[in-house]
Amino acid sequence: MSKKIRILGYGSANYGSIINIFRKLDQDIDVTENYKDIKDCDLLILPGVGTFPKAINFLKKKKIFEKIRENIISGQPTLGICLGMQLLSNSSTELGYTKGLNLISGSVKKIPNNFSNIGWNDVFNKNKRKFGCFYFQHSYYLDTKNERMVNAYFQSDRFRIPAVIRKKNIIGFQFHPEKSQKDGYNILNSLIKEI
Amino acid sequence: MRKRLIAGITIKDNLVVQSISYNKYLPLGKVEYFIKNLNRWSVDEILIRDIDAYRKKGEPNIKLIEKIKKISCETPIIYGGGISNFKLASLLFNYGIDRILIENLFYENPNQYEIILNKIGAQSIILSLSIKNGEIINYINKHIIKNIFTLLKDNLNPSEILVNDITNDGSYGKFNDKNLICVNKLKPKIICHGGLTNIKTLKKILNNKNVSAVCISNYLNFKEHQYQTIKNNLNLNTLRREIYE
Repeated sequence: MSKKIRILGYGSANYGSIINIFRKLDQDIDVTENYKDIKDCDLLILPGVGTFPKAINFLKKKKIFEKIRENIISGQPTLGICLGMQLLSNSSTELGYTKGLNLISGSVKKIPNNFSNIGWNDVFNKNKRKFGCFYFQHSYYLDTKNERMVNAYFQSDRFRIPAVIRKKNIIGFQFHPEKSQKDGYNILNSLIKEI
Repeated sequence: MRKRLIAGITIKDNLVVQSISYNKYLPLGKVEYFIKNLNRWSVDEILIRDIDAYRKKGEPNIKLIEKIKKISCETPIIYGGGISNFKLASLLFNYGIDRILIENLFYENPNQYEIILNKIGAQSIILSLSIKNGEIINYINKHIIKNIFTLLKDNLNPSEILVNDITNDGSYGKFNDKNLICVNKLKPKIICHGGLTNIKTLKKILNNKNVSAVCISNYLNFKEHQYQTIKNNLNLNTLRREIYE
């Protein structure tokens, strides 16, 4: 059965790719800034692409920052993709200090050595089993001490980045499932079945 | 961190073309078919370069991008050509483009380049450098760029730099190694493009620690499943394995 999925619009983001993959999964998907539309949906998506302060300022300017926060606290299934996942954290240092939605513990920091994590990486779950190969595109990452909510991670030679976080009704992907071909399709298909 | 084999397509007059040193073009077909095929082959990334917008200083071909948007493409797409301001860059992302390639704007309007970088984020920006016999040149006015280290301050670093060998573009296996010398002290990782066909050369370049990806364009069109064949022949653990539909 088709679920009502809404992408929260906050300026420049890859709505087109997200819309395409959810349509392929036969879902009712659209982009919205309208709170009523957001409140009524089965799954809210906070998309990726852009910078942390720009997205937060957009939500505040539209006066939906607090409303969305309260809605997620009250149990709305929410998926954060890349920047969207980071927005759920306490804060970020991207282009200066900015407070986030404060729904998952941790702060967003620049990946050491001016490194941008671009491309395909194997993601592993807590048992060190390969979870899939996904497309990443980010220069900042979620630094969290709450290991319990990190369901899967990407390990490089120098650092470990939370790739999938899970807390009650919130799920976050640091990678872009909509651009991760078969593995991305499968993970979104599983998510839809769950909500 | 896996390295990438990027599939490049060059567009001229709304068609995919085979480009030879950027002065001779052979038409190959409609863009939509190429994107569909490359997506079906599960290539690592697709790089679209619209040389009409690039050379005529026009804007991105929105009609063409609208066609691409309609294709359900789960492969990351990079687009280059005519991106002159944040509004246009933003529009491209809304159409499903994942990363953008910038060249002229970096020289002609560095302030606008910085605005795009700050608003979109470095991870979505690739700076293209045209390189001829080991020297960076401004492709529009043909001036040699000797101060790239001064121009590319830390706060202006993109996520990656595309080293475009303009002399050997479209040639068979002639990518010039010297091209990497003039950029090897820059902080961003390097994507190499232009005349990369030879497996031995590709291996050597992909084993360079500063190189994150190579982009192959014309050479992909010579044989069926050429992309998968190249990956198979490279047999590198640092690359994602080839996928057959």
